[in-house]
Amino acid sequence: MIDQIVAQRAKGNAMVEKTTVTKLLMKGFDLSKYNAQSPDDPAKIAELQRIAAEFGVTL
Amino acid sequence: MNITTAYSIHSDPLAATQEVAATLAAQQPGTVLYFASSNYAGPTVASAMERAFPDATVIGCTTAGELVGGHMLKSSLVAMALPTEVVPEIHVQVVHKIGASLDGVDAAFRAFSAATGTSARELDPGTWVGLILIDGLSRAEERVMERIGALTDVMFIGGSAGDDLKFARTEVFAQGQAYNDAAILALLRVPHGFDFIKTQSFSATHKILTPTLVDEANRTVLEFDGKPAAQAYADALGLPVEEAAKHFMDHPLGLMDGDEPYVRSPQQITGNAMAFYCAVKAGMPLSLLDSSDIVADTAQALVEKTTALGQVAGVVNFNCILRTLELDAEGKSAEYGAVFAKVPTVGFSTYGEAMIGHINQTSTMLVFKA
Repeated sequence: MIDQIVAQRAKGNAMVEKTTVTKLLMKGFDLSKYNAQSPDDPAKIAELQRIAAEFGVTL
Repeated sequence: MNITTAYSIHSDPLAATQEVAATLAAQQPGTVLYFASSNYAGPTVASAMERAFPDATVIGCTTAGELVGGHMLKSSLVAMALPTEVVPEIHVQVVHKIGASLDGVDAAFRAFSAATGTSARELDPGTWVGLILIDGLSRAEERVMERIGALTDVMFIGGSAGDDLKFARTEVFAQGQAYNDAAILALLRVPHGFDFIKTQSFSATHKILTPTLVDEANRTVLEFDGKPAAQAYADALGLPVEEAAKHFMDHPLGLMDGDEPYVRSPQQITGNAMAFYCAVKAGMPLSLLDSSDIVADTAQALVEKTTALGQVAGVVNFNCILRTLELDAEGKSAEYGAVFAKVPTVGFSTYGEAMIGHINQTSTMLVFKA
């Protein structure tokens, strides 16, 4: 989900990718702490869905 | 395409405005940025500046100290004239009642989209840049910046207006008016290029404090790692709680983005709680920071940016009041001002800096490429 948000916002623009990662960090999502094996936390997933909607990203 | 600056230390707002205008008006700027001590009557300055530059877009705010060229000033008016060659297009929106709602931010971006003919999310962040000047006592900065970040990929950089440490009323200026509980959002097209400097003169220690109980609306941490916040912070310093507040300036906390800290500065200890100058979220690990030399770090940052860009046409510097106080206490204010002596620079001492989010003890700068 996190990767999708970053990729859809950045559209390949490296600067936007970096700032989007920082925006997520400031919302409490440190990308370096998550990978495909990270356990699904319903509260975190709900928050990411809210952020995606706010960012205009379709998951 | 010369960016020019001017300042006045005249105590009368009309005389100060006339002095600044006498230098800048001949440039026939398309945009004028100005920063005024709160010791002036805000509405008088706003009205006079608008009249002085009838063909320009004129925006500004009150300060806790001013920066211009090679000087750090108090109780002055400073301004920068941006020619239309540098900023051929600017759109300004005043967002009212930011303490109550973010609806005005959404409306501002609808207006930007209408004015540019481009959706805010589709605006090219390599061509467009945003400025934000916001009421420094609103406590709304985090929410406003988060909303802006959701609405656009254009970088908005700026600062929270100050009031010379009176903490009574700050104002932002546009359209000849002074506004409180408001933000000025300006969207600038800068075709010759621009970049940013973010410098904070801190490095992370290995000590991390994670807020586990917070009052986010009041920017207060009640517990770090399950322990009373003040005790946990004092333990990280290796000091008794009674000594901790003396080390706030040298040892704030930082949200780390790689090696880059986004500084959260402690304000005060009340009981076991710690209030900060910006909000912190529960579960967000914060590194205890060590301070370094503001003047040396700033000079290095400006040299590196100048080297990267080839030549710099001008700098707008949003410099935290806590940095200014530290520079004043160390007798280094003149030295800091001199860092910018060779570059047209204008700025002010802020009650918070804006760049992606709301941060503290940082200088955020918009750098115009020559």
